[in-house]
This record gives sequence, C-alpha cells and structure tokens, in this order.
Amino acid sequence: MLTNIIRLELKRLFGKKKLLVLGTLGLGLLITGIVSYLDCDTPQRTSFEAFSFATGYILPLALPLLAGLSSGDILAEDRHLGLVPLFMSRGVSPYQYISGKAIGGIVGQIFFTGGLLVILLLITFLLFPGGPILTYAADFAKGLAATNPVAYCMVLHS
Amino acid sequence: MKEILKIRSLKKSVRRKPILRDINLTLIEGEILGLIGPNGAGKTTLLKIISGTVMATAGSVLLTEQESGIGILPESPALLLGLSGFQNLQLLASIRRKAGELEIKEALETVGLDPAKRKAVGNYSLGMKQRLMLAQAIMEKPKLLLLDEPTNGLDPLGIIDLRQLLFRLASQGVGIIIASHLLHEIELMCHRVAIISNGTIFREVDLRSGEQQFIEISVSSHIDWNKLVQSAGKDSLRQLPSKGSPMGILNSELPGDYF
Repeated sequence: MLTNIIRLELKRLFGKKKLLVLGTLGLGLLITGIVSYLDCDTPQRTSFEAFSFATGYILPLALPLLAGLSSGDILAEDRHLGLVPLFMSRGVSPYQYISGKAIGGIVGQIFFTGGLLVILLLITFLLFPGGPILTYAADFAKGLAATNPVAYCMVLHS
Repeated sequence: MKEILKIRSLKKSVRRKPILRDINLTLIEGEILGLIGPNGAGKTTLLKIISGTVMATAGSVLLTEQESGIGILPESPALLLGLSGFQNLQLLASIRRKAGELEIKEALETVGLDPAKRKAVGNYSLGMKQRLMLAQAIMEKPKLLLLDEPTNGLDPLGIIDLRQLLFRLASQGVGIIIASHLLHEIELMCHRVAIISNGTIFREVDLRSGEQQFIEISVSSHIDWNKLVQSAGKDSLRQLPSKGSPMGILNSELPGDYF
C-alpha cells in the first residue's frame, strides 16, 4: 500500500503543469549562473567548470525555493480538496498516508532537481568544450573531497 | 441475510462536547439505510467514523466484508481539478489496484459519463462532479457504500438514475447508508430510516413494513406547526407539552409534497 501511495504521489507531482513552469524557472536561474561565469576571468572554460560554477552559485539559493513551491503543498492540497477521506476509506492508515506523502515528496524532489541538473549539464556540453572524462572525475573528486570529506572517504572505500 | 456492518455503543466527543452518544446500528447486505436528521445532528460524523476518516472516542465499528472495502461519496466533490474524470479515477484506483481500466470505464458509463472525454474536471458542472464521485465510490465494487447527500447538484433525471443505480447495487448485495435531509428522497430510496438528532438515533423506521409508524416530531416555530397540522390532518397529530419548539406525535405518513 505504501509503495502505491508513493507512486501515486510521484504521478501527481509530475503530472502538474506547475512543475514545468518551476523547471523552466530553475533552469533559467541556473543559466544565469553560466552567464555570470562567462564574465569571470578563468584560464580554463570546460563544461564541468561552467556547470560547477552555475550550480555552486545559484543552486543553494534556488533549491529550497523550488522545492517549497513544487511540493510544499502536498498535504495541504489533499486537505483542501477533501481527498483524505477517499484515501482512508480505501484502507490507507494515517501512518501510511503521511509516510507515502513524505517519501513521495522527497523522491519527487530528487528526480526534479536531478533532471534539472542533467539538462543543465547537457546545455554546458553544447556551449563549452568537454575535456577528457577523467579530468571530470578528478575535478569532481576534488570538489567532493573539499566539501564532503566523509562522502569522499565512503566513495573511496566502495 | 448476512450483517455487513455492526456498530455498538459508538461515542464521539470533540473537546469534551459529545457529537455522537451511544450509537447502535446494524446493516445487512442488500439493505439501503437512510440517516436523517437536522444539520449538526451527527450524520456526517457517523459516516466519517465508519469510513475510517475520524476516530471514535468509544465503541466499535465492525465491518464483516473488510476486504471488499468501502465506497464513499463525501458531502462535497473531492477531485483533482486539472485532470480528466478518467485520470482522477485512475489515480484513486492506483491506491488499492483493485480496479483496472475496464472497471473504471464501466463505472463511468454506469453513472452516465463518457470515459473518453478529456475535459478537465475543473470544467465539470456540479452534477457531473457528483456523478464522477459516485463512479469512484462504486468502481472497486465495495460491499458497503456510504453516501453523504448524494442528490447534491443532481438534476431530476440524475436523481432518478441514482435511485435506480442504488436499487440495482442493493439487489447485488451491497449495503448502502445514505445521509440526507431530503425526507422525500430518503423515503423513495431507502428500506429503513434511522432518525438521528443530538448525536443519538432516537427512532428507526422500516419503510418496507406496512405497519403504522409513530414519530415524535418537532418544528422550529408555531407557523411551521400550523402548516404541519394542515398537511397531516388534526387526527394524525397529537401535540405534546413543550416549553421550546412545538412538538408532537405524528401517527401517519406525511404527504410527500409537504417537504
């Protein structure tokens, strides 16, 4: 039952036109980061650097806003529309309902943000030279080690 | 006949204020039970407790056919306005995965809606929304249906269709509880009526029996009382002493056009 509610929540989230608008807005904000990067005086201009700059510059500010706007109303909407009794009458317990909503919301956010980042990465590939994949991996590892040393150690161990 | 719902000593209080007091009710399969009573009597609360939306303070609700689930029709339509009728039912059906595309189409056709229609529910009329809500209640073929003011927004033809549908479902063994304040509709639709007031069922009337029924009746003003005397006839009504609203005992059925 819990899996069904999570699936339902994802279907609802990705069926919303609002999400398309927010995705466009998020992408617009991230591209602003790339435009700002173009003004920077950097010796190298690879797609990875443009991507890192854009996400590092904009994402921490834009992400909570986008997350809040896209799925902040998941519980309030059901209550407002009177959908809760329809769930309960189908044998869904309050625990399953709340858990399903929370997990669905989080998974939805991960897919939404991940999707945005993939699109942004593809855009940077179009606009900037790529460079060898190993350079990416090394740069990414450096970045990860600097910002998340515990995660870096876990990656090394695995 | 098998009992499908058994309610025993049910009580519900909100902030120490009693909403339901000692409700005892039984529903057998194929029976249509009407719950009538004034606004705030506790009809909707009782339906919410049976459907599992609200917890009772004390007492028990026993459903013998738990597997088949409950179909509910809330007082006001609860739908996702941006989706079509079919998509709304698909989403709700995905909770239990009991009804597939075929069952959804069948339910929509049963209530007189076109399953192929792509129109968003936000553009539906109130009557169409009510029909769609009825479709979601019956699509999983439950053994118990709880309908709160089912005739809301329906045109006369829709009401006749609803009545026929309910009789058909009852003949298939579905137990149905209807809460309404439209006495005439209840009289036409139900086999048995429970009159609820101040959170208590103070009278149950079996409409199938030909026996004369005595009902204690209270109206809000003397003008209404005089109207009642005119419609029912002096011999059918015996006034009881009362300090507040006029009240009395009615010993024959009221003519339908009174309401």
